[in-house]
Amino acid sequence: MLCYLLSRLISLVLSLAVASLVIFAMLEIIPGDPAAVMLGLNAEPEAVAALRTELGLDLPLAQRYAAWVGGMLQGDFGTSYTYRVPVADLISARLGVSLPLTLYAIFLSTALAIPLGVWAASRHGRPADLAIMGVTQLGIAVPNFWFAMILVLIFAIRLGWFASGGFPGWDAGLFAGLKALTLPALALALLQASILARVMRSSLLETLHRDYIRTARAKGLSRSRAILHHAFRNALIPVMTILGMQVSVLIAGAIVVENVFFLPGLGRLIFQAVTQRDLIVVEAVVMLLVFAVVVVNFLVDLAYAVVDPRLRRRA
Amino acid sequence: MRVPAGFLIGAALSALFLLMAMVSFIWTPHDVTVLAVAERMKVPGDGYLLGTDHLGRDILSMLMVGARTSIGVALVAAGIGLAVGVPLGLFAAARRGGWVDEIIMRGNDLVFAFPPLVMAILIAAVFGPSALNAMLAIGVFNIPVFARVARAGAISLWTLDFIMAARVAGKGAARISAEHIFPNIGNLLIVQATIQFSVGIVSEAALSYFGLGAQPPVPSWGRMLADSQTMIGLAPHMALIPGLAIVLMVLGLNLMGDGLRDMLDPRMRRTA
Amino acid sequence: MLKVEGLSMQIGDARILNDVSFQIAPGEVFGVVGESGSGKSMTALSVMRLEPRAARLSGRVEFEGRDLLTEPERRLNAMRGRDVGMIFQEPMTALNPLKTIGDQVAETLLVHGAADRAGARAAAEERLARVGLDPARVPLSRYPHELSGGQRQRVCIAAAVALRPKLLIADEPTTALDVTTQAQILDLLKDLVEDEGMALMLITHDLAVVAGTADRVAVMRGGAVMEQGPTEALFRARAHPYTAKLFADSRHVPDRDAASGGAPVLDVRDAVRIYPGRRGGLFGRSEPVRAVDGVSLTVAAGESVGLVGESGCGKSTLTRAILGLEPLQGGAVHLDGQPVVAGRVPSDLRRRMQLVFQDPYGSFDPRQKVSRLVAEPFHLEPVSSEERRTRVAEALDAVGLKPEDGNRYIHEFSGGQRQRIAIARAIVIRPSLVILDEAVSALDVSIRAQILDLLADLQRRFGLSYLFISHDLSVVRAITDRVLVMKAGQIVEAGETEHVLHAPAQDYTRKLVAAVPTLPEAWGV
Repeated sequence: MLCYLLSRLISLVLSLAVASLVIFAMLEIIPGDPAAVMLGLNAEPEAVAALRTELGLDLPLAQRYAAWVGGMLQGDFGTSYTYRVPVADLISARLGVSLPLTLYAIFLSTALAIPLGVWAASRHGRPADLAIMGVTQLGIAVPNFWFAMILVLIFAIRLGWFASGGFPGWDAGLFAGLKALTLPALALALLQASILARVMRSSLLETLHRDYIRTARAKGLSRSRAILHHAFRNALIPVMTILGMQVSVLIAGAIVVENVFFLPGLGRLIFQAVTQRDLIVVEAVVMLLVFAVVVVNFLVDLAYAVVDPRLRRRA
Repeated sequence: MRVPAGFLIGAALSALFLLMAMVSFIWTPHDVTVLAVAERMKVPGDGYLLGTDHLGRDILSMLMVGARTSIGVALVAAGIGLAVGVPLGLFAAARRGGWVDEIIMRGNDLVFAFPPLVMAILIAAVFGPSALNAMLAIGVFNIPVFARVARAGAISLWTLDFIMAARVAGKGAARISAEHIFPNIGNLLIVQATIQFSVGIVSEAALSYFGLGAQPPVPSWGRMLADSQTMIGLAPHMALIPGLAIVLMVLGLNLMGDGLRDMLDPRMRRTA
Repeated sequence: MLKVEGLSMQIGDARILNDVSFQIAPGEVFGVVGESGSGKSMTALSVMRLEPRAARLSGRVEFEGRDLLTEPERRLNAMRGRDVGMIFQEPMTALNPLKTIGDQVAETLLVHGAADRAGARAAAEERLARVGLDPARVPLSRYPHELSGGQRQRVCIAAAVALRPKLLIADEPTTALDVTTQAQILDLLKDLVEDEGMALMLITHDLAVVAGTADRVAVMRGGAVMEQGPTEALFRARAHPYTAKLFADSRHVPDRDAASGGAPVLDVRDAVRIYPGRRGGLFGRSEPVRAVDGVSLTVAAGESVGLVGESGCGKSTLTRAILGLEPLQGGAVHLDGQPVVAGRVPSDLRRRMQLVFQDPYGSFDPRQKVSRLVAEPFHLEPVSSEERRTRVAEALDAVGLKPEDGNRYIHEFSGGQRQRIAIARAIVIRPSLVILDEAVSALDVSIRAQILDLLADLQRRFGLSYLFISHDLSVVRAITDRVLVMKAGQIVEAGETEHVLHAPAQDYTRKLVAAVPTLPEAWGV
């Protein structure tokens, strides 16, 4: 168990190191001077020179990379050129929206998907199964930003139940905050819930054909008890794999949906940074997003070991 | 072999959009480059089959030209994934358990950590936005997808006796991969390609929604949605129609993919 | 106690069972024998009412006076596990990989409300000890993947008999196990029947297993019972022609001449294959495994040599080393006097040895036509396409197929036909040596007899040498001149087949020979 954990941890650190190199290298291969790119075409030469010094562009490559990574490890992501504040402050403020939004969406999608998938599998081939399969097929096809717009059209503009966008801040209270995140989380969750429900269903159906289910039935377990006690946990393993893989899609989706709802999150920050060519912010946020994906995959690996005893003893 | 109804519906929908894209090269109902402010925000039916947008452009014509962009980007992106990912996956499987396999799979995980949108943002921040960059961003993300599918399929084949028979016949790993493994994972790859094609359609729409895809004046489905957003209360058809186009296209491709899987893989007929 | 009357099963348009009737008395061992597709497993599943969902049953299955075909599901659940237990063929997959063995045995008691948690645990411990899994050495907290196949089958039995059911149904319980393990499991089942007064319905393809175990027996074929009666009387009389045929096929010895003892074709000297130990975490490695440990053997021209041993003894590794697919850490392999070195086998050498596999389903690329499959070894010998066609046709003809069969795909053939095609592929370029890796183990006895005849015939016609790798001593006895017994990477005994199998010199061989179920000589052959 410890060895498994350690090997996963090493692979996590390696992934992050390589990712940081890739991101750094991407911004290094910018055609022309990054400082000039950031300031635009009509920049004064003095301003460009000043920015070069500020960004440390005069230093050698390796030293700049070391400084960037070293800074991040201490929580220093540099200073945003456009906002003129430390990027770390920007990010921590924005995380207050993005993190709850993502968790909310993961909660909604799993809470919907797993019961639906189990239900569909236990009604295999009957109307309930067909209906769930149909709805999820549609759910996979709906782009989240369009679904977000439709939600706004119905629940904000027509029904007036929710605001069409914006975020009151957590100071306005937990309820107000959650309410503002509800439509965005729903928009994000639809795709995930559809995918997970389908995976849950097919994984469970596959598991129901296994020999050990027959053994359990021969011991006198009813069909539903055999599903609950034997099939469910085995069927969860592929579901976890997909969940881990979908996290990167979910994070990308959050960027999109935040922009539809004008939520002051990381997605909005990175989008604005791209239009304003604030490379420091782009660099930092991309690194953070990659970090999030890698860490979630690490957690999924740990979850495997918890669920599956065959992994615990393997190195 | 019985052809599933889902496959027929899916194939018909996909063919419809492909046809629209093709026809747009020689004919569209209206010229999408001409702005007619007097004709703006007309509802569907009023002289225009699907209405007009806020600049008076015909939405049907824009959909047709936009389909071109969507299909082109998604196709090239899937092609990049296939062309690079499949050889990588086959190679990793032939050296399964070794360090080459390990490096390829770790590299895959890493690329997987950059969702297409993030990759496109990065590329756009560096080179500026364009349809080509959108293709590249989505295509790069497709590489690990195909590599994983190819590797998983290949590894299960490598354990079978007929591969042993080929080794006894003196064939090398490269030749076995090409002659025996690749044809036998063809089904998996075709199915995955349809799925990635549909993912590409959605990703392209998301990127052009952000202005990271094809640039104006080239119409694209994503930007039609972006344009409609501020006017969604006034002219909901501007948002509904391009969105439905994306949904139908993606639905069509997914149904086609599921149908293909059912037809090509007898084992799946039980569960899918 | 159990009375099955006119049981029929239909799935779609296919009639799986046809008017099956039999009775089992309390404490009786009832054997059901038949080849694959005879409906024996479906009969057992129908008694448990665990038949496939698409199946439609008719007739009566009366257990202690109640007709199970009309009982509600709730009552059936209460019956399964408490009154009737069942174990299956494949112990590797029959247990839930995510639950401990203790929990899986205790579950039988908990489901039926027969004990509380602590009581169920204690009972599970006692039952596991009863089936030979001493809790001191195999704790209840073990997971299935930590046990061997035989141990897993014991766990299955413990779970099935946890509530001392009146009837235990065992569906091919030992088919997936080694012979010595098979003998232990059969003894355990017999003991349980005696000690607990339980009835046993034993389903198997192996006449000898039934002969040594069952009081009464039913012979099934094509979903129907051919005949049934007391085991000894039925087997002695063999009144039904199908029973007689099964009997003859299972003891079939092909007509072949003893080898003349020519020059050695294959010569293995002191072969050693060591696998590095599994990496135990970041640092240490476990001990290296000596999978093949100083093996020497020769096969002369036109000779058949058997190599027997239980799973994990190193047979397969040795096979791959002989074929030059695995490097050796010591010793050498020579074929026709030329050295076989892994990774550097010249095609002229490679074409002189061919391999036939156990599984006739996995050994062909499903996407290629039979003519191309059979022609695969020509990769090693450039010949004109004209000649290739003629020789493929000849090879197909030699194994009893038609040249036109070359235009069909492999899935269009039955298991026995596929094994013929595999043999055609092996002989198409006239090798000196054919290695047969469990080549008849997966086949039904009637087909096995035909394939053995075919192999003997081909040996005579083409002067082939065979290295026959098998766990099945009866097959080895039927077709080999000499036999080698392998255990833990070493050859423990070698000699003339008849001699070794009749008068084994080593303990291990004696144990192996004794474990093989046989039909009593007295019953007449």
